[in-house]
This record gives sequence, C-alpha cells and structure tokens, in this order.
Amino acid sequence: MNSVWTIARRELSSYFATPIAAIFLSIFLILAGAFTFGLSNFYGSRQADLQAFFVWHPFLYAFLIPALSMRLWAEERRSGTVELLMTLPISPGQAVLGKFLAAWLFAGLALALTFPIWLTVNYLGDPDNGAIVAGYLGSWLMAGAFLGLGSLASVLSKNQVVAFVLSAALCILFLLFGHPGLIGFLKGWAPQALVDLVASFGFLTHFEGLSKGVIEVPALVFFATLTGVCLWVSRVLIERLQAA
Amino acid sequence: MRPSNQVPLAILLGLLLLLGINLLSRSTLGGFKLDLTEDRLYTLSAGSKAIARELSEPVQLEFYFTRAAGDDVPQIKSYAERITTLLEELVSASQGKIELSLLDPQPFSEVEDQASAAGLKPLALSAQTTMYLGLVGRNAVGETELIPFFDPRQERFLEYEIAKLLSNLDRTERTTVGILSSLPVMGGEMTMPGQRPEPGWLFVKLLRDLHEVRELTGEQASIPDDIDVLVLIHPRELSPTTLYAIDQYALAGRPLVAFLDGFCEGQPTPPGMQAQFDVDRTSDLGPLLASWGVTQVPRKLAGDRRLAVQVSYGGRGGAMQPIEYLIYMALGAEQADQTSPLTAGLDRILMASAGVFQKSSDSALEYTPLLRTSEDSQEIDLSSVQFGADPMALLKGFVPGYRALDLAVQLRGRPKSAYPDGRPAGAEGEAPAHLSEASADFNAILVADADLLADNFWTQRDGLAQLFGTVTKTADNADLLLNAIELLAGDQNLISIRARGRFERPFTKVEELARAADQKFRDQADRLDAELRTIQARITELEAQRPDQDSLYYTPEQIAELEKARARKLEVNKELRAVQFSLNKDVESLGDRLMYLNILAVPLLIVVAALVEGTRRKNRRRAA
Repeated sequence: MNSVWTIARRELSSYFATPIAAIFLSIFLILAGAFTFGLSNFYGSRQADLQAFFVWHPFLYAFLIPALSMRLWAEERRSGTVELLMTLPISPGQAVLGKFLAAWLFAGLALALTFPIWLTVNYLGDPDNGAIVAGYLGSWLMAGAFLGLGSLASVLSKNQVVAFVLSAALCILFLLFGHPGLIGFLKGWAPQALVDLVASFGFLTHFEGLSKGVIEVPALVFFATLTGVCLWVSRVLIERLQAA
Repeated sequence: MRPSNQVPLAILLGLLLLLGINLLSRSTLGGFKLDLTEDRLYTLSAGSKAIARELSEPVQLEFYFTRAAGDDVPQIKSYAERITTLLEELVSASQGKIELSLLDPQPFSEVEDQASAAGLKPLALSAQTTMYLGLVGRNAVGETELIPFFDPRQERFLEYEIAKLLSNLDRTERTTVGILSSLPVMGGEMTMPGQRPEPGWLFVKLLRDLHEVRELTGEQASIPDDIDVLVLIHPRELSPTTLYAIDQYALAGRPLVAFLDGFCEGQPTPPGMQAQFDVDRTSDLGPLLASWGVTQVPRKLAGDRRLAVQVSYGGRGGAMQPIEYLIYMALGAEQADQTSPLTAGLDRILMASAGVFQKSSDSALEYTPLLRTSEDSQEIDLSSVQFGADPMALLKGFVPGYRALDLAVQLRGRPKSAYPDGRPAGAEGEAPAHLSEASADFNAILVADADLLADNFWTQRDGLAQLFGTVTKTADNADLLLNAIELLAGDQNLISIRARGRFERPFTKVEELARAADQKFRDQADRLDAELRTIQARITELEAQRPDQDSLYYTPEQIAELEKARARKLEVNKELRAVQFSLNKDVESLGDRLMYLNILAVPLLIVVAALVEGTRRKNRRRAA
C-alpha cells in the first residue's frame, strides 16, 4: 500500500512541476463558473440550489478528464519509461492504482476549489446543504469513473493525443447511454431488458440522482465497478506490455 | 495461456463482471439509499408507513407505466422509478397487506385496455405514442381509487397522494360533517306562505356530493358521536352548554374547522339602519380560542394594499369609480402555505372583512399559518368599517406594517379544557365524563372570515347556471373547506405527511434587496403620485375657470399656468419611471459581482501562485 502512495505522490508532484496543473484548474473553474452563471442562468433562476452548477459536471469531465488522463501512461509508453517503472519493486497493479489515485485526488482538488459557488449560494439563500454534499461526492465519484475510462485509453496508446481522443470518445459514449436517440436505435432489435441495462449505464441518470441528494446504492455500485473494471483491465494490459 | 489471448479475454471478463454486478445490484439493492437531503425528501415518512401498516384489509395496487414511451422522456422515466421504489417500500411497510403489480401498458395490448378501462389518463407524447403513468388501487369490497396520471410537477405531493389513496381505500363510510352555523347556510325554513324557502348556500351542495351533511341547531349538550368533522360558521351567542360541548369535542381529539369572522357582512340583522350599525358582527367562541392558544386580534380587520380587490364606489362627485378596497383581498399562491396539501393547490381565495389571528404567547399547540396577507398589509380598526366603509379613506390612511398577517391557521396539539371546573352550571342534558385535558391530538383549521363561503364571493351565477344548476367558480373558497374536511377527516397520519420538503428555495438575499428597493420606490412613488394628483386637480380647476361663461378662450396667465402644470406632469412621470429602473439595478449588480467573483477569483489566485512558484524556481536554479 505504501508503494501506491509513493507513486501517487510522485505523479501528483509531477503535475505541479509544470504549468499544467494551474492551466487545467483555471480552465475547469472558469468554465464551470461561466456555464453556471451564463448558460444555466444560475442567478436569474432565483433558486438556492446548485443544480445549475452540477448539471455541467458530466460534460466538463468528458472533455477535461481525458486531458488529465492522457498523461498517465501514453507518455511513459512513448519514452520507454514504463520499463523503467517496472524495474522498481512495485507491481503493475500498484502502479496503475497509484497513478489513478493521483489523478483522482487532483480532480478532487479541482472540485474543492469551486467552493466560492457554495459560499455564494449560502449567502443568497438557504439551500439544502445535504443535497449539495451528496452532489459533490457524486461528482467526485463520477470523475473517478471518467478517469478509469481515461486510464484505460491511455494505456492503449503510445501517443498522448490518441489517448485523449480515445478517452473522450469513451466518456461521451457513456454519457450517451440512456439518451433517447441511442435507446431508440437499440430498441429496434434488442429485447427491452437489454435496452434497460444499457440505459442504466448512462452516467447522467445516476449522477442526477446523486446531485439531488440521494446516494442510491446502485449508482455507487455502478461508478465503483466501472472504475474497478477499467483499472483492472489496465493492469492486465500493462502486464502484457511488461511481458512483451 | 498465451499472452496474446489474455488481453481480449480480460476485457471480455471485465465487461461480463460489469454487466453482471450491475444487473444484480439493480434488482436487489435498488431500494437501498442514503438520503442526505435536509428534509429527507426521498425517504418514506413515518405517517405513510403507519397507514400501510394499519390497513384493515388487503389492498391491491396496480402501477401502470409505459416503459417504451418512457425511454423518450428520461426525466419521466426516472420519476416512474422513484414511484416504483416508493410503492415497494410501502409494500414492505404493510407487512403483506398490499399486493403490488407493475404493469406495462404497451400499445394495443390487453394491459392497455385494462388501464384505460380503469380510468387512467395517458399522456400523448406524439401522434402515435401515449404514455401511461398511473395507479389503480382496489380494496376487498371491490372499490377502486385512482391516480390517473402522476404529474412530475407535483412531485412534492407524491407520497401524500399515494398515502391518501390507501387511506381512502381503507375507509368504508362516508364522512359525516356537522355544521353549526349562525348564518343561514343550510337554506331557509318556512318563510311567508306561498314563497319558496331560501336556498342553501352553494358550498353545502358541493359538500353533500362528497359527504353526509348534518346541521346542528339549538343548544348542544354534546357533539354527537357520529359527527366526523365539526364545522363552525360564524359562531356567536353560543350558550355555555354548547361551548362546553365544543370544548370537550376538541379535547377528545376530534377534528374541527371554524370560520371566525372579524366582521361578518352576511350576518342576518334586524331591519332598520340603526340596528345595522349597532349589531356586533364578530364571531365569538367564548373562552375556547384562548384555551387553544390563539387570539383573534380584537376590533381589527386585515387590510392589504397589494391584494386589494377593486370595487365600484361612488365617492364625492357621484361618479362610480373603481377603487381598491383594502379589506376585500384576493389571496394567491404566494399567500398560501405551499407545503400543505390543503392550500398548495389553491389559486385564488377571496376574503372579505377578515379578522387576524395571532398565536398566544403561552400556546402549547402547534400553530401553522396556512394563509397570510402580503407584507403590504395593515390591521385596520373595526370602527373604520363598522359604520359604512369609505374605500378612499382606508387607502389614504393606509400604513403598511411589513408583517404578513395570519388569515388561516392549522392547530395541532393537546390543549387543556377551557372549563377547568367541569361542566358549566345550568347545562342541560347528559354528557360524558369531563375531560380536563386532551386525550388525543386536537386538529383544527381556523379561518378568519365567514363571508368567503357566501355564494357571491366565489361563484358567478349566469343564465345557464340557473337552468342547469351548474356553478361557475371565480375563486377557490369552497375548496378551502372541502380540502380541510378531507385532510382532517382522513387518517390522522395523512395530516402528518405534509407536502414533503421545500422544493422552492428562493434567494432570500435578493428578496431583501427587492423589498428594500420596493420600499424606496413606494416612498418616492407615493410622493410623486400625490404630486400628480395635485397637479391634475389644479389642471382641472384651471380648465374649469374661464373669464366668463360664454368665452371660449383662456387668459394668457391661465394658459401659462396650464402649460407649466402639464410640463410638470410629464416630468413627474419620467421621474417615476427612473425610480422603477433603479429598483432593478441593485439586484442586477449583485448578480454581476457574484458572477465575476465565482468565475475569476480562484483562477486568479492560482495563476498568481503559479507565477510565484515559477519565479521561485527560476531563482533557485539561477542560484544553484
């Protein structure tokens, strides 16, 4: 477990070694704020809740998380440092977990830095803070799932740009599950049970429940298992690379 | 295993695991959740569980939802899932007494016919697709209750509606409503021979459609046992015996609706002008109100400038002019408690010369205002109205109190008897043992006006109506009583399931700003209005003056003065508009400031921190 932390720390400090961290955080915060006040007209709605804020998280993540995750493995594969990494006394599983953890904690930092909006909504009215806490937790969990997908995409390619595009595509795919268009397409030839199952893999409905204030166990299970499976497959892939 | 096979196998295995685990969790763990909302919005309340548990006989519930159509509208689909979860929780709370079937009325299927036959109303999503989202409940004797369509906009009443359906299925008898009224609501006795008796008030007819209605006349030694809800309409001059009977009725935990007027215009009075003015038109319940922890502010009526209705009034000068009459108030949704199923659906309540309720400082009962005035209101002295009201005088003398006045309240709790020494002397007839304290929770709804029940305040009778006996509603006054009876006579658990939680959480800061700006505006607007009126009066005066009757022309001085007056009037109007504009400015500028703060503050800090760190590193490198 110690080695996981070591890797995570090393990875995390590498984020801050370059302006990348500042740029990423700034862009995330500016976009989140702009969408909340501009596109969803948070102030004009006169509702003391953060629905106008949370509604954008899935879409922000779909594009920004791939930017975060593309660095996880693609660069190392290209420069050959993966082999170097593997000579250290750590297992591939620990490496995968460590890097993921670093990215996840960084995402958590980005979320935490949105605290001005929480202060703002409490200044303007009396919001349901329990629901807001659930929203933040749900968002962080969902970010983890996006990162899982991104990590997988990153392992699969040697090029950071390819990793970005692939992971963005995966993320958008999971956003689309549950969308009436895709469902309509499936219904033509699949049994309703399968259609329901595919629909249940959509991030949006799960996150919607979480952002309303209810932590439903199936939603927790979904995000956790998706993240877990992605990381597990990543590990298998790394081992394969190592063996090759 | 060959390495090259491992990866695809791993991916396949991962996918299967993912599908499998999630399938399992959806089917078994679907109901488990942690509700972090402040009002526990998504958790079944104790009242609902009690209703389910205490069902006397088995009940069948059929939930119809067109799944395929739901795919097109994900929000309704998730609402349907929420309803399903709620129903399943009720089933487990009922310990087997509720049998639930989940049905999918697909187009042209038998199930669809079944749904339609039961009376469910589908929503037409397009020309071809319709969606059913309804509930049918059947009890052991074959009666059915329906929720024809679950409107997502009424989500906050979801639990209440379903609990009410269960409760109605369990109830086998019609509610008996007892009316004790000093007003002739039930219709007349014999008048002059040859004349038709006075018809009863229309609300009684609506009441009779749903319940058994009995009139309680004369002295009451005790309120009969078969009365499920007692309705008092403008009680006055009740004997101690009757008052005691009502007191004991309350202490037995039996429900009560009371219309207590501050000034009852509809009170039958003996003929003669003097008699009209002398008679006391205030409702009176003796010591009972005090024992319930409520006072009706003596000799005061509620007046509201914002809610005032316009009446035609012939002032000085003779012409009938529309003018706001402060004590005739049209209450809207904003004045109603949106969390109570009783008032949340009401759109418009017209009250006429209503009193004002206040909670006594030593009250031990729960006191919940259901209807209130706006803050642009005032307690108006009875003497201004008693001897013939002058709407203009009331307007002129209006001073807002900035405090909403309570016009209807709900009481709940265990009061003590208003007759601590037992039955008052001179009481006749038999009565059960004296209760000095409530043996069960007393539930009551008090309304500070009785006139609102009169036909002319909430209906419009037109020619067709005379013929067919239909009623055109102009206000929801009667619904207030109907809802109250439904709420109180129903399961006591229902009363506790108030509309769950606050779905509306406004920006109180913005409301404060708006109110402050509004006040500033009103001050200035009043001033400018007054000035306008003076100028107008002057203009009228000038225009009426002419050197002599036959002349058509004004003197130059008169013309000059007229021009000045008209110019000033234009200026004043412009000033008024400018004030209105600056009203909104305060609110908007707050919004802008907050927006820039949220978007830029932390990013700026980050950039600064990064720059600082960057320079530090550069310096370190240089030094090294």
